[in-house]
Amino acid sequence: MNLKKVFPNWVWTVYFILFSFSIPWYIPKSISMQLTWGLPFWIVLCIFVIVIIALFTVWIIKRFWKD
Amino acid sequence: MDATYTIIICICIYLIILIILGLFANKQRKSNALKDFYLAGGGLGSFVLLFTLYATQYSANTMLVTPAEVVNQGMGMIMVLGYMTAVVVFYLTFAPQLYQISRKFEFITPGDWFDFRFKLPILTLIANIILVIVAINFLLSQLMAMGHITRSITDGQIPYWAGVVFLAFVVLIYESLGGMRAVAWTDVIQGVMLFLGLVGIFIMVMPDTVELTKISEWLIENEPDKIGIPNNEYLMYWGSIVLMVGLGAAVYPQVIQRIYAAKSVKSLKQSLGAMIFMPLITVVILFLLGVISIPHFVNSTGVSKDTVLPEMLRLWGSESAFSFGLMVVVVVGLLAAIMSTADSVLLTLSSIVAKDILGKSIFKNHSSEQLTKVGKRFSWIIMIIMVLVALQPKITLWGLIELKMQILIQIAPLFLLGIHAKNVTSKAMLCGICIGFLFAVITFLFGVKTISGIHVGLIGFGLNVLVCFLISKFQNKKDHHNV
Repeated sequence: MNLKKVFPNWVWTVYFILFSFSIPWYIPKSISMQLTWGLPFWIVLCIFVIVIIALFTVWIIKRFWKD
Repeated sequence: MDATYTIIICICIYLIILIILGLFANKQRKSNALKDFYLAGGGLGSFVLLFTLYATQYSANTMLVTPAEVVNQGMGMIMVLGYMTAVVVFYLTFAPQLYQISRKFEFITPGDWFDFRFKLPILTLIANIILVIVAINFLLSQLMAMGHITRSITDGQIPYWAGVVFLAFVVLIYESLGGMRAVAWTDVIQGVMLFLGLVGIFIMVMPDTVELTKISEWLIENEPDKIGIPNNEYLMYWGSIVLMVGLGAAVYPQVIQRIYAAKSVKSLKQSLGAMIFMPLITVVILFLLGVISIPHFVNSTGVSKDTVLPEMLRLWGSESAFSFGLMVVVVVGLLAAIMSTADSVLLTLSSIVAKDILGKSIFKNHSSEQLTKVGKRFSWIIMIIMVLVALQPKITLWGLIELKMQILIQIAPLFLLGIHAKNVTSKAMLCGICIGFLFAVITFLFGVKTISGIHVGLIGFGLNVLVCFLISKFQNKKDHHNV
């Protein structure tokens, strides 16, 4: 059985980094209550990172997954 | 007309549509073979595939728990967005290869992959038993949710028992008639209703940034814990739950069968490419609905998970005739979310039992058509038993629901390592699964949920993979030495 790799390994590293940044461990507590569009900044940032993950996913599917 | 009666009439119309779709799917069947019944002949196009994945993945639990937990625990619940997105990302780790090989060797159940890759009957049997435990658990929770939600949205006009019995009966009817074809088509109706209803309600009730700022400022002043960045232990839990649910939900047997059922690579690619945006729409809307519900539950503590959304929907629905219409769509969509998850689980359960368990033992020499009949009969028997259990809430297995994900994740290495690690041996995989499974069950029985903030399910998965690699290395070394 020879199963070909579809996505290169660096794709998973990028996912790991992106998902790590979707969790607000790196945001200083001092700015955690700052509001952006009525929501705390860290919530907006978390949603933004997930948007990046979604766009990255669409890109890798188109780029690497052949019919 | 009274609002409750309008909702009851809409539910009845919706149930009739589901049965008509089941009849239509029955006419479209090409044979009574297992592949036609359980995989719709392997012909699901991207649109149907997308909505059947969506409706199956988003159960009533996601719909009801997200807003309620935002009200109860605060904004840290945005982690639901992370794990629902992670599920789609984890599909990509094995779906491309699994799809190709499933077409070549005509797979029907997850067990076909286990047999093909590991060729160890006891491993397939244990993995299937774990899948059956998870599926039964899942089915029971959906049946109970059917009763609770029906009672809640009809203001008690339809009692709990009637909700469980009638909805389970309708699921059985359309599923027996049309198998996966009926389930997928009804999932499309259910998914579209839920999606449009949520987006509609959101557009209608979503406050502007001024109103959101007011809610946030109130939280900063009165309940800062609900709006601030969670503490380090919670952040650790957040990371582990994203990994655990992402991995566990990606290998739901009903999802694996949907990968097999895709019409082409293109359909699978398109549906997964669209599916990655579903959390951003569904979960963000549910999260924001939770945030704007906070002022309405200021004086309530420990809000029950099935009250926030139904209560808020009733409130928003009373604003205009249009909003009432949208509210009805969401309410019926909520029922749809439960039914679509229940039907998919039931179908998968019957395929595993008929083909992989009974088909390899007492019905060993039966044809594909005969096994399809066995599967249909099993669906009725298991559903009747589960309905009887669900009607006795005192003896329910609610606590076991928590166990579901932490034992399901132990199956993930069969796909991930099975596809990507050629050197992993069958016996090592068997030992890994047994250790991971035992760890998950023992920690559950002792009431341990996390260790240093990390979910025990994920720790069990880590042990599972570690044991698997160590034994494989030892075995390969020994084989090499013997050669």
